[in-house]
Amino acid sequence: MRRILTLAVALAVAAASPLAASPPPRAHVAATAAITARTTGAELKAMLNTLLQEHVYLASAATGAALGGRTAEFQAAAGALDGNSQDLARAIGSVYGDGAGQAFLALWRRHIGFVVDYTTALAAKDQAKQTQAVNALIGYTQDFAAFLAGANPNLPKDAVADLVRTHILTLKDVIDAQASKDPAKTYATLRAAGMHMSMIANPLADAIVKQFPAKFAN
Amino acid sequence: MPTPFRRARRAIAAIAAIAAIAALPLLALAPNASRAPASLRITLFAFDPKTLTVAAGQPVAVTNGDAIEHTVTFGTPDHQDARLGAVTLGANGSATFTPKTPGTYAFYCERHPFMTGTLTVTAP
Repeated sequence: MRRILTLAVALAVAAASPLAASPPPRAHVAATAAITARTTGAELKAMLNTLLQEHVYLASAATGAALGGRTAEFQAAAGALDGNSQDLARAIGSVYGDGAGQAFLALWRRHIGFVVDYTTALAAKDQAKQTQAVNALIGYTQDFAAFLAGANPNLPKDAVADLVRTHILTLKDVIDAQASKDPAKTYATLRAAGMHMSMIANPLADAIVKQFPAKFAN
Repeated sequence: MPTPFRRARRAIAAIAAIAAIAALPLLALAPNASRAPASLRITLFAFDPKTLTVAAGQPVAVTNGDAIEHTVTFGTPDHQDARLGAVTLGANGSATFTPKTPGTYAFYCERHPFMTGTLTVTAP
């Protein structure tokens, strides 16, 4: 239990790093996470699919390491997960401005914090805190949907909230499978959680291209 | 126009002028009567501007451009500032508050604590 709490603190510390502090090994990836004048709509869609699927795989790597008590692996996965968050924020910021990118990063990290809370509660077999974390995650879907709907009028808030809710629940399935030490179920739920992210990435990319047609008229 | 009416018009104009001049000190005693409200906007989970300066007694009109509830809560999550009451804004809502005491006030959104700003209230 103490190890899980220590790992949770480590993730929180990793999440607190500013947007500009990306570790050097990801520089080549960070460069591609920004949308440039030559980015096409297809490239934007591919970028968002890659980043959002990576989010699921890195999150599950972190939660699996946390539940297994593998400290060094957890810290590496948590660091990579935050790098992915910064890449996503950089992509959003390159479309909507630095302020929006920073707000996105803070909001995105918030839901990762709730995932950590759920994982910690699961490890401690604390049903009340599990419920609290799940409720926080469900509440978060409204926040995130409001952010995207506010940024892009082509993204209806309710539809986005439903998609994010499915992301939350499919990721929860992965964490539950990891906690039950069922490898077959873990990887089956992980594939489902990863594949779901295209349901968010594709409409998000399409909505951005529709909002800024001249920007992606390559 | 007959002379009595002309005299009456001049008398009325003179009384109005005297009343206007007499009211000037009263206007000076009501500092916010001539101050337009300052504007604080919430857009995409951020306060705009992040730092705002107003005079004591000057209203601050807050507009929430997000489709989610936000608050303007003074202080920090660990230590709320009781000098100013929190303002809650519903989705796409608006509200006005009027700080009366000079000072510097940090503020944040209670639902989304990463949203922060600073309000400086100067003497009237």
